[in-house]
Amino acid sequence: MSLIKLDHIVKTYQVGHEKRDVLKDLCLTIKEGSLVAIIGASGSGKTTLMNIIGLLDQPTLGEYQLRGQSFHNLNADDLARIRNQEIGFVFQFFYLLPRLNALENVMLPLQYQNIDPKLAQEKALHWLEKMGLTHVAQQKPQQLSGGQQQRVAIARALVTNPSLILADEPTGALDSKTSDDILNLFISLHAHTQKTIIIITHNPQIAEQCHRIIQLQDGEIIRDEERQK
Amino acid sequence: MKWKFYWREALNNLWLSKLRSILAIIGILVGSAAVVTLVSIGEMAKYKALSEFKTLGMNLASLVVNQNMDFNAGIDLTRTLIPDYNYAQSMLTLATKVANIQEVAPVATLSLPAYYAGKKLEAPIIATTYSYQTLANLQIQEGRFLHRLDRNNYFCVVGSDIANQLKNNGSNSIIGKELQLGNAYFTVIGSIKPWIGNAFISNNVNGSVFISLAAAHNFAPNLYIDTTLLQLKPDSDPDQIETDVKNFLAAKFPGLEVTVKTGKQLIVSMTHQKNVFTWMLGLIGGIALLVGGIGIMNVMLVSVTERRREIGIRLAIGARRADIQIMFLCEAIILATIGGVTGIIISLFITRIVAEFLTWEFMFSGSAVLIGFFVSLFTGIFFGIYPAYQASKLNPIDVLRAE
Repeated sequence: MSLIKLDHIVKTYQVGHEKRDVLKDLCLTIKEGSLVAIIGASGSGKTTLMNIIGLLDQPTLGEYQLRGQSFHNLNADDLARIRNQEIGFVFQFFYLLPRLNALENVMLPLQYQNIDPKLAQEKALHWLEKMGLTHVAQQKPQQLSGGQQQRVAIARALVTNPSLILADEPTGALDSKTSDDILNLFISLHAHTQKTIIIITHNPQIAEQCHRIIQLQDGEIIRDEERQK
Repeated sequence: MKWKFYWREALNNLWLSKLRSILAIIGILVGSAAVVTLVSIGEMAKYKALSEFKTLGMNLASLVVNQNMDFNAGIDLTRTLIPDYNYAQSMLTLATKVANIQEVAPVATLSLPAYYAGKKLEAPIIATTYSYQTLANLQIQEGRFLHRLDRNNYFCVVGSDIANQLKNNGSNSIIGKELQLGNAYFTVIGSIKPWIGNAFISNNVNGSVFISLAAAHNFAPNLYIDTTLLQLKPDSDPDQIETDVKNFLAAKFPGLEVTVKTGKQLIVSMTHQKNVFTWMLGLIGGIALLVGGIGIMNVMLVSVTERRREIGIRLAIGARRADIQIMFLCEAIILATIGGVTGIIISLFITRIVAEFLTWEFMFSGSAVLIGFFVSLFTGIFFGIYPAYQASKLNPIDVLRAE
C-alpha cells in the first residue's frame, strides 16, 4: 500500500523577477514501510521535496497525498496537526530547543496533542531508553555530544508514533563514526518498527544502505532504484 | 491540561531570560506603582479634605448678595442693594425668622491699614459678630473672642500669625496691646490658636484682626458685607432653608438676589473636584503604565526575533499558530502580573510613607489596587498580542532555512 503519492508536482519559486522551477513535474510513490534515500547535489530540489512531503510547504502544481489524503484545502493548523501525528522530523542540525532538557525536548510533540503530562513523560522516557539516553534525560542539549543530540531528535521524531520519519541530512553534522551509529540506528529502527523512513542525503554511502534510492537533479528524478536487502 | 504546559513553558522561558524579564517587569512595576500610589494619594487627599469639612462645615451655609454688574454702565444702584450695616442687622434676625438656623455671622472685610507700635501689619480686618467663633470653630489661645456685649467697644482679637508678630515686638502676652486700625485704636482682648482652615470659610483667620461689626460701622460706615455665615441645626434640610432664606430676603429687600451655598452642595462639588483630581493622578500613572506596556512589547518582540528558530521547530513538530500565540501571551501576562502585583506592594509602602509625611490618615484604596492590577494585566495582554501574532505568523521553512 502506498503511503506517499506525488502526482505531477511542480514547485516554483519567484527569485526577483524570475520564476524558477525547483521541482519539475515530479511523480513518485512510496510504499508504507520503505526505507528510502533521496540523494542529489545541492540545489537538486531534495529539501524542497522533503518540505512538501513533510507538509511544511505546498506544491505550486500537482497533488500530494499522504495515506490517500490530499491537503489542498487544509489550513496551517490542520497541517500542523497532521505533521504532529503522522510525521517525525530529524534535521541535520538536530534542532533541539536549548531551553529544554532532553526529556522535555522529546515530550514536546506530545504536549501539542493535549495528552496527560505523566503519560507524555512515560512515552518520552521509553524512547530515550531505546536510544540509550536515560542517563542524560535531564541534561540540556548543549551538554550532549552531537550523536546524543541527534538520538534525542530521533526519539522526539518517534515519540508520537508517526507513520513517516523524514530525516534531512541526519548525519551531516556528525563525524564518520557517529554517522555510522546514527545510520545503523535508522536501519535498526526500520527493521523493528517497519516505519516508512525517508533519508535525504548527498552521501552515496548512506544511500547504499537503503532499500530504495531516488536521485534528483535539477528538480527531476533521474534515478529510482529498488534494492534488495 | 494544555494550559499547565503553556504556563510552565512560559515561566521556564522567562526564567531563562532573567535580565530581559526583569527589565520588562520593572516597566510594568513602575506604571502599576504610579497608578496605585497616585490614585491612593488622591483618595487620601479627598478623604482628608472631606473629613475636615464634614467636622467643621456640614451644618454651615453661606449667603452672598449677587451684584448686577453692568460693566458699561457701572453698578446699577436702582437694581442692586449694597449689603451694608443695615443689611447686616436684618441678617442677624434670620435666626429668629427662619426655622432651623442656629447662628448668623455677617462678615465684612475692611481694607484699612493696621499698625502696631508704629509698624504696619499686613492684616485684613474682619468685622463680624461673636457667632463667628462658633461658626468657624475658632479655639482661643489667650484672652477671649468678641462677645455679644462688645458691640460698640473698640476691642479686637487677632489670628495666630498676627499674635506672633505682636509677641516678636516685646512681651509674651498680647492682651491689652493697642492696634491702630485706620484712624481708630483697638485694644487686643484675645488671640486665636492656629486655624487649620475650612473649605467653607475663605478668610485668612490666622493672618486677620477681628473686630465687632458695630464698632466697624462707627468708624467705617460704608462697610460691605461680603458674606453671611449661617449655622444650621443638625439634620435640617439645607434646600428648605435656602428657600426660606430667599423668601425672607425677597420680602425684606425686593429685587435682591442672593446665592446660598450649603455644606451639602459644597461636599458634592468638592467630591466631584477631588474625583477629577484622583482621575487625573490615575491618568498620569496610566501613562507610566503605557510606557511599561510598550516596554513589554519591545522585550517580547526581541524575544520573538531571538527565538525564531525555536518557533520554527515548534511549528514543524506540530504546534498550531494558536499554541505559539498563547505561549508568548502567557509570557506577557506573567510579566505584567508580576510587575503589577510588585508595583501594588511597592505603592503600599510609598503611600504609607506619604501619609506619614503629610500626617494624613493612611488609606489604601481597594479600587486603586483593582484598577492597578487589571490595568497592568490588560496592558500585558494588549502589548503582548502584537509580538505573539508576529511569532505565530512565521513560516517554519523560512525560519529553519535562515537559521
